[in-house]
Amino acid sequence: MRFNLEIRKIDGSIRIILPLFSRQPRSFGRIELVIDTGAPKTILSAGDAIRLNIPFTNFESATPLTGLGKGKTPVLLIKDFTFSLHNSDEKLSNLSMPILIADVPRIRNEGQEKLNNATRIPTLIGMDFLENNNFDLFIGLNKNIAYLEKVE
Amino acid sequence: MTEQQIIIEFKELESDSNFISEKVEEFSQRYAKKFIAVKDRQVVAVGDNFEMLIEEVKQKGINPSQVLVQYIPAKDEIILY
Repeated sequence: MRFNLEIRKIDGSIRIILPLFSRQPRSFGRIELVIDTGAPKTILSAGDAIRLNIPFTNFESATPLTGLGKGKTPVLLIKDFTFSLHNSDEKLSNLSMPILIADVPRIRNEGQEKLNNATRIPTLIGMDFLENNNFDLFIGLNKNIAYLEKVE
Repeated sequence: MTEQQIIIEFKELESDSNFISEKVEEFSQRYAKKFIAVKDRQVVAVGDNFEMLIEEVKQKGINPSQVLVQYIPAKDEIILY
């Protein structure tokens, strides 16, 4: 089963993007996720968390993330984030897995500039997404194709 | 929401996602260092920051969960994650 990915080039930077539909209770909505094979974990961005109206108080804190730049980013854990993917046969696959989300209230407490910077980062698909869902990732930039293939 | 409604949502999402990819060079010229919101292959809001953008989307009577948001970096800006 194949799930096509979007190849987007913004000012010379190539991003590989997966469209996904969140089926979290009260947080239905569209998300674009950027494939990041350098990230061990999948992280729902501050922007997408705000846009989907995620109820932050419902989730437990997880170990803050360390990345580029100063300080750490506070995150929460959604133990079973539920979502749908649209495969190349025009059918839906409904999946769930644990993901981290940016803890927007705590980021906001650290100042508006920190929140502004956090909202520039998109939702990232980490290696756990591929591993938990038995996906193989194929990228052919020269042929302009990219897709996930589910191993049954 | 039924499976059929979600498939329709996906078609709109994929269409808007393709639209951003097709127009991204044009957007880089017009909207550098801004956030844009896209729905139905149209830019429905532009903001200097994310929260201003979402306010504008809401003021237009659009549910923020139904737009795609893209930050357009400046020419000399490379964002690493």
